[in-house]
Amino acid sequence: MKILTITTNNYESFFLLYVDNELTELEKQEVEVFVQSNPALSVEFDSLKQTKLHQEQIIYANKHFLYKQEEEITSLIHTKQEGNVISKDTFTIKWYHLAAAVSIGIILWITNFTKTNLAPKNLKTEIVTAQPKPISGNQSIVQNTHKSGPVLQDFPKIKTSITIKKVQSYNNESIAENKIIEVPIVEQNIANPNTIYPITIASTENQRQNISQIDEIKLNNPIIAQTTIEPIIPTRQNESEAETIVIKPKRGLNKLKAFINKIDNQIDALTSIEPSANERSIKVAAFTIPLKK
Amino acid sequence: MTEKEYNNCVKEHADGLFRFIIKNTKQIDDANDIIQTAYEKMWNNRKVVDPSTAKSYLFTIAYNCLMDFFRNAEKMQKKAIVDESISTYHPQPHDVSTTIHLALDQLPEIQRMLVLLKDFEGYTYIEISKITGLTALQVKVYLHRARLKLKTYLVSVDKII
Repeated sequence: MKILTITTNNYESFFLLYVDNELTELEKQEVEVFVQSNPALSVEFDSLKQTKLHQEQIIYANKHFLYKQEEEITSLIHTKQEGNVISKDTFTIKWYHLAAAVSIGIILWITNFTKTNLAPKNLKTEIVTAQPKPISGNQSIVQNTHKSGPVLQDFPKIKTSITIKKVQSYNNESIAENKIIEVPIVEQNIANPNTIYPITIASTENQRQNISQIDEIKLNNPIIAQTTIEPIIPTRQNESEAETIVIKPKRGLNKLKAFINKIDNQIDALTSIEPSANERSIKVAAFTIPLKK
Repeated sequence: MTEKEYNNCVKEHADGLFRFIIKNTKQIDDANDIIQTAYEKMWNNRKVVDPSTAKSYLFTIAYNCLMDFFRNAEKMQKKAIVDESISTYHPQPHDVSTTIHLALDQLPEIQRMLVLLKDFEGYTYIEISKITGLTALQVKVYLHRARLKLKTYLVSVDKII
């Protein structure tokens, strides 16, 4: 592509290569010397040099669209530094920002939730022997006829599963007084679901022995008894007799409802959002959405 | 090519690439489309694109897109509309720079693109041949023809003035 010697016959090619900057420094000097020695060709040489475009500065204003994900924030900084007009100020929230926020929220919630729910476990419980006692004389309940053996045979049908936690909540004060509480749980369909059954607190040694045997039985298993029980109207026994506490058997649905309420309370406690009473609003978890009046 | 290198390409070459495209399309929307296409392709093929040849890669894609654009424009008989948002396109009478750009518009598309690649980007014949797919000799011939046409146009304008 290089021409060795410039002459009046091939000068145009040299001039064009000169304009296109395809010559070496030595060749350029040769062309310049040739033009000086041939002034008639200098006009043509200058004309060809004018065909070279001058540099123009055009700034592409939409550069921020071209930057890719992980560098979006950086791109905004770059474009601002370059003095471009940015039509919208955007800050992209990355997925790992969201993930971090969610995980922190979950950790806080779990910490608070477990703290409140583990508290009763510190208490020791001695549970559960049950012997429903008639409170009124007119209502008959089959009494335990075994004096030393387990009293479970004389229990009313026990079908509802009972959780230790639930009994504990009723027994905190009684345990502190070194008493034993009898909690008979009765199958709901025996009588009216709203039937209330007595809990007897016993303090005799025999009853303690009974309890030790009962402890071997899993409370969540259905226990079949031979007797049934009549609905009892709850009343207070005499002080000389065993102390009676009233307990309502609850179903699984109520437990779930209570659990959901507890979660809701935890979220409320964490966020401390208290919508004013005057404002009409819908509260969904930690968010309060005001309604139009 | 890493993401950082890609974004460096945007920072360093987007202006030049846009200038090359807008000088050919004269329409800012088409220029936006082509430059975004070029960078999108480079992003998609970033694993195989060498950062040292990224600029040539971008100009190659842009050149091919422009060739398609010209073919379609020829079919649709589009009229070039100069976007007024680009101040450099306001013609100023008796300005040499404006005159040369007016002369440039008179050139065939390929010659114009070669002149732009040569003068604005400073590519050699061989580099232009790689971008365009032409031989180096073809590039040289096209460029020399373009220079002579430009010279003729400039001389004629000077005579009128």
